Amino acid sequence: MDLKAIQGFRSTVRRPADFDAFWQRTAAETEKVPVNATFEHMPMRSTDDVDAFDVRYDSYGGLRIAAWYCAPRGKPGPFPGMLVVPGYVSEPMLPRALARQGYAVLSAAPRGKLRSNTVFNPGYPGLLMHNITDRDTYGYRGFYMDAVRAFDVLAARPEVDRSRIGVQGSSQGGALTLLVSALRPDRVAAASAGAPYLCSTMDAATMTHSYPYQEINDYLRLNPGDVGKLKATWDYYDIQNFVARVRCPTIVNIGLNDDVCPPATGFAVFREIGSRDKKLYPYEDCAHDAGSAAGHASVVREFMASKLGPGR
Amino acid sequence: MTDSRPDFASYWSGVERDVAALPKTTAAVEEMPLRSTDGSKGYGVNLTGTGGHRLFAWYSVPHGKGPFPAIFQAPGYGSVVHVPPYERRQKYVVLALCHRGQRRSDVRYAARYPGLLTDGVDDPEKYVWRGIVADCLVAVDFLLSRSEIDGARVAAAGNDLAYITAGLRPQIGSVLVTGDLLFRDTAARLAAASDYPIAEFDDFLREQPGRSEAVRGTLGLFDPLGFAGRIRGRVLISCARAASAYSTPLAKAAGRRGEVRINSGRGFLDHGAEERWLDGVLASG
Repeated sequence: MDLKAIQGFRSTVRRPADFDAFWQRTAAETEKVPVNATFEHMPMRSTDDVDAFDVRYDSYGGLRIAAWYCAPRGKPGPFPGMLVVPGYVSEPMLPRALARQGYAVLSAAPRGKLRSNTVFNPGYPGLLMHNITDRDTYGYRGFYMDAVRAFDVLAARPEVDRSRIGVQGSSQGGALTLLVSALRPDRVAAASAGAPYLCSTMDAATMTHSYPYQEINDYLRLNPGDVGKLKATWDYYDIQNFVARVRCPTIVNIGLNDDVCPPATGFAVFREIGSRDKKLYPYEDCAHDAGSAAGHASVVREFMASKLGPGR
Repeated sequence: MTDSRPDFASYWSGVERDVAALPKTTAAVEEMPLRSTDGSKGYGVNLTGTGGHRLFAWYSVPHGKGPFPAIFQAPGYGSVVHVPPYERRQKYVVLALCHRGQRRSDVRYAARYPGLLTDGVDDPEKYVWRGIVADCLVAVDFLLSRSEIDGARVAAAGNDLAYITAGLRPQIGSVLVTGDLLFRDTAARLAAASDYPIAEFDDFLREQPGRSEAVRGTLGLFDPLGFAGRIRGRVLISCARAASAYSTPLAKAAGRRGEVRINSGRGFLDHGAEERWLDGVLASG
């Protein structure tokens, strides 16, 4: 797909009339679950300059969710906060590098990740299709709430400056970055979303043979009659339908040859982001790396530093 | 605790003996229509590794009349092993192993991240990666036993494990090495390592500084450069410029059969070059 076609793509996602009601109901059900956050210091993973913690909290449906937390050691707070949200298959690593830059960082492991899979473990491939024909029990319902609640857990830390909290991630992490920014529009101060996944999802599956979207193609090859059911569910979950609520400064990077998350869907979601302060970084000759090794890692670092002021 | 540090040759001979002693009839191959495509048939393979570990692998065979060139996709560092890429599945027989501890091969042992890289690292006989390399050999032996592959056109692709496996199984004709290397000159890189997974070693040694010599001894056994003389085919090392100093010796050791490609940092270009190299070596055998 050339650049003109990428830019010209129009999403077929529709916004259900009860979209807001569905997510208000989901949020209300989540709020009924006490957070019960615990932070256990990890001497083995701590260093002279970073304290590391094993974090647990309760989320939607009462599931216990894990995260890592790293904060600068031996320095006076408050610190700007950073929520790091994970990709589809990767296990979140301890975010010590960001803590060294001066952030108090929570790295979330939503349900299904290894440390959060006691109850919910659809596997990979698997998560994208877990109960996909039923919007009420679809796996991403709780998964989304786990990410949002991770932000709340971070914001509740006494050493975190609640006015300076950013969110960042790539791929599924890019999707979750936009989701959290949309559902906490008055509290997220800056967002960096790379190669965002889960945008125009049903369209994306028709443009690629790469996983995770290939899970949809695999399923529809054996169950072609279910395409309407999948579309109906995805209209409730598509990031395209959330981002009009984003208010914070936001950057998005996209690989123009991304075979995992088609760039056309990234352009489409970027257009809908509600923030007035937003910038798109398209990278030629890049795939799902989306320019991370071609200079964009520095762009993210400088963007976050300018908005959140670590060391200030 | 006493240090047991065998020399390189005897250590790996021991691993090969363990694998050779396994029963040869334990592979179970099950068709997976969900993971098939218009051009390939997908299977799940269940194997038994050393120590009785149950191992899973994705296996894919192109439609059409074989035999086909084959790729062993060595597992990377992470909990999930992907179904092999669609494009490879259309052209090649592909085997993608989930080593012990990874999802789908985690009944007896579940890997932790961080943690997998240092599990038993101060005793080479108990180091979990001894078993992981053995898992790769079990998987390759399965692949080499298949009638649908062209045994003269077999490649391995992945990180250190691809290179080490090719060193222990000379039937593998070519090796594509990509991604971050876990064991290449790692002992010397520890002081400068701040990021995971290599930082796992620093965490371990900070907690147990007295085990430094033992850890370095184990890392020496796993350095892929030790296998360079055993690899018979062509080698491509595709790496970032920052990793070139310790990665390129793996290609140089292969003489004219070795090539180095320094990544541009633009994934589409870099991945495309790697796949074209694979296409070339698998076309010629």
